[in-house]
Amino acid sequence: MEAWAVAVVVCAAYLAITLVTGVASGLRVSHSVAGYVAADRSMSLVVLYFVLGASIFSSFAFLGGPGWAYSRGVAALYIVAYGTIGMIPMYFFGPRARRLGERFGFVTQAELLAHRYDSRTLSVLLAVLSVAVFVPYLVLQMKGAGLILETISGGRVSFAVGAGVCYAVVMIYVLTSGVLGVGWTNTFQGMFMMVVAWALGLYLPRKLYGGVGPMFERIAASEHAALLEAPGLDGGGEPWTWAAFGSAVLVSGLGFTMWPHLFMKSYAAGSERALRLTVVLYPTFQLFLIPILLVGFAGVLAFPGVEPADSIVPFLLTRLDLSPILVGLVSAGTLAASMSSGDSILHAAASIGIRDGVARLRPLDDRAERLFIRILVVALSLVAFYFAVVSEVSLVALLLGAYGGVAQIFPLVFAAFYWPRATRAGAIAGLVSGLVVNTLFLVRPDLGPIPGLHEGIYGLAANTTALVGVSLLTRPDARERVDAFVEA
Amino acid sequence: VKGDGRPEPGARPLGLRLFNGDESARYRRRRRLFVALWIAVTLGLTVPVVPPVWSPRPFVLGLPTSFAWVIACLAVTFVALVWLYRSERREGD
Repeated sequence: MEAWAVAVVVCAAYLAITLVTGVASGLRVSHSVAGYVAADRSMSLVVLYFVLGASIFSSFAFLGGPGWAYSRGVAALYIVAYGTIGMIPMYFFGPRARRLGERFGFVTQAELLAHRYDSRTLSVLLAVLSVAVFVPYLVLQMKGAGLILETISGGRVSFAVGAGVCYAVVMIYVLTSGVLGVGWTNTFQGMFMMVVAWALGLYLPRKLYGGVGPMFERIAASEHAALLEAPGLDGGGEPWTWAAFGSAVLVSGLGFTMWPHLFMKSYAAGSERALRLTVVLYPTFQLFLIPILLVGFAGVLAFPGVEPADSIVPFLLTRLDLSPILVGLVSAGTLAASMSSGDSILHAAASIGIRDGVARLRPLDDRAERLFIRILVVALSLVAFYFAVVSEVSLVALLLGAYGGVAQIFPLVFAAFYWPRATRAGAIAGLVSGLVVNTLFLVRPDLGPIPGLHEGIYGLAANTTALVGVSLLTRPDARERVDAFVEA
Repeated sequence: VKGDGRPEPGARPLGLRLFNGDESARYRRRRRLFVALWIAVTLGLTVPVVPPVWSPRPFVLGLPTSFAWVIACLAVTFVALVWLYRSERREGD
């Protein structure tokens, strides 16, 4: 068999295992919305650990991470840095959200906030924000899957077929098994991608330079030495500023657990212990970014000038004389990174769109809600597929902008749990002004007083000011509602 | 607040309420300490407070100092989380 065919067969085997795991896992859960969206609040530590870890590590980590290390050097440490600080709030918010979810039947983030602030507007606003940030995120995952299969097969598996087949698998197990399908496939995918990342990250520097130390020695002695000067380079190859690096870490860190698909996993946890322990163990998952970044650094001197930088991993796979089985395994690892985030996003987007959007405007019974969520799973898959394959719209910029938008949820969640004086009007004013200011500085960065500062910082400043100011000017929210949250 | 110091019925505290009232003093102290450490790590990862930790050399276990510094912050966070979790489990909080 030809080398490319061996690699494609390995990927096909990976897809088959994922499909079987995903479909089989749904046989154990109840036929209710709580079962479909929150696994009947029964997820064990192992599944929860991999769901969170694998959902976070998307094809951005697997393709974009090495791409950053390759083209921007130590700027890529930003990805490790924000993950380090970003998961911590979950230790404090998560158990409270879980207790409230059990008491009031919440399965999404917007339900919790809409209840605390007694606002349907807030729920619909958060549903629109979630779906708006999830679609480009999903499209990028699909593009990652299509790209990797097209590259390793030398174009014999087209981009559209590759992305289509991978996401047909995702759609089937999300449709049949809901969040448990996501859970068990992510457990398999998470273990798989960790092994692949460590193997590749240690192997490549050794093969090309004789080890990690010698690799960095040679980079430091070369014309690319600026890559190792913190905080690295910007997208144009000029030195990045500390304001840009630090603010990007801070905004992404604060937004980290606010991503609705991650936040809502608090409700799926089988126990508080499982949830807390998942946060405690999360840094062990985060460690796997280290070999991922080493892969990018390995390309610097061996293959300079690869464009776009994000294609450095598939480029290395095809240029180095590697065993086709290894190429297949690494490609399947990349597919795992893409699909284990894509499934979680697809499931969350559909659940949130119906439960926090449609059902808030027109009441649905449990059965109808499940049906509508499934219809939306199919519809969103098709929309994302269209954008991935047909449309030429640049989504990377859109997604980077989304991080600042998602971070705007942080003050509302914090105030819901810790500031009894926060009011409905304050919460809506905070979120809206945060989103408007964030978007303004995203579109017109030249208006910012501090060059390079992440637009999310301006958004958070406006958000917090409006939340506090308007809350203090309006009547306090109903006591029992507030107390349920601050005493949870 | 009424003359005897008790809050007026229906009055709300203006400030943050970080604890809900039934935790032990040790529990509160530990959580405050942990959050202080978290803020310190956040500063350590966003601002070059101590510039040498962000320099390329010397190499630590083959990695540039900045790379090793970020990993060290991750390790410290992990140890602190384990400490907080274990002490809270022990007390059954």
